[in-house]
Amino acid sequence: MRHAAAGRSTGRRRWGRFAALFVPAVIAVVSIGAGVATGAVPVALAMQGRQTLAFTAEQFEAEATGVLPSFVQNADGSRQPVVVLQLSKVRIQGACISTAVTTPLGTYVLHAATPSGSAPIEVGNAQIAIESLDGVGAAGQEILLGHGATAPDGTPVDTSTGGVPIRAGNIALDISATARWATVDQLTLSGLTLQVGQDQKRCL
Amino acid sequence: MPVSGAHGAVPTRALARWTRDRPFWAGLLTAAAGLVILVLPGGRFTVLLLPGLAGTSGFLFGAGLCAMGLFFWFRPAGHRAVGVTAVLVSVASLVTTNLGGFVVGMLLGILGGSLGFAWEDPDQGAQA
Repeated sequence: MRHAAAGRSTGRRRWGRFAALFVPAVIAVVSIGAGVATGAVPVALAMQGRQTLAFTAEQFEAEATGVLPSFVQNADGSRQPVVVLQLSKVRIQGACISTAVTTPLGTYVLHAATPSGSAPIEVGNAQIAIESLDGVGAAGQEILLGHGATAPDGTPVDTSTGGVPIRAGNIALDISATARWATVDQLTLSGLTLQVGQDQKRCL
Repeated sequence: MPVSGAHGAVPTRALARWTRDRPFWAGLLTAAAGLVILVLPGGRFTVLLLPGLAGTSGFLFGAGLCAMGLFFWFRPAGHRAVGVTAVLVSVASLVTTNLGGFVVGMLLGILGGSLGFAWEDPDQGAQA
């Protein structure tokens, strides 16, 4: 039986103990966040949804390690074929990525850019489930497929580990694609500026 | 046992007693953190478990945090261990899955875990 006088000290929180756990956690989060922003700590992402995006880069290198058919299930139970594109060892330098997201509050443009000449964005492994590729407008000064490296005398050298090397310089891609999901492992960012707004500039 | 008072007041007092007997807000915040981390990858939930580290840990950490929230509610005796674990899992989710549910899930989990750790068991209030 609890009396009213003792009721004050029951079910209360000891704020000293709260701080003992909360403050170190916040310190850890801030340091990890600083590590992520400078590229020292890789992160992993997994997203679902449908997006179209504009992508430009000064330098783009990747290895396409696989293209797999797969199925996803729609909400009404029907199954939808998608193509899972697997990329590894992705390095993007001087990138600009913008995508428009429609929310109930309006259309917001997400604009992410890394300055030219800075450290590249690196991705260990990425998988993108592409449902449809409606349009690709591509312009590039240099797009090489299957050409990993060049020996000093100009002959191509096979440096791939089972995939198809992709290299592109000064590439601009206007992709209208529907991707069902995408997972990104070992993403190291460096010097990335992220801006979100309704009247944000797009990359193309 | 509240035997006095109008019938309408009894359920309210029982509810107030129930929320006071356990780390109620800690459980709520931790379960909310788990939901955010679990649901965030999905725009349409066509695939429940995405491949890769982010999909797997989003599923495990999100479901784990939901379970810890339930532990706070229904097994409040272990609130200290559950609180520490919830904070550790939330901090880890920052790196492993979608930046901790775009930071929101991570913050909710840290808050919920810390509140649960700091909660004072009313039965032991006299000796603390």
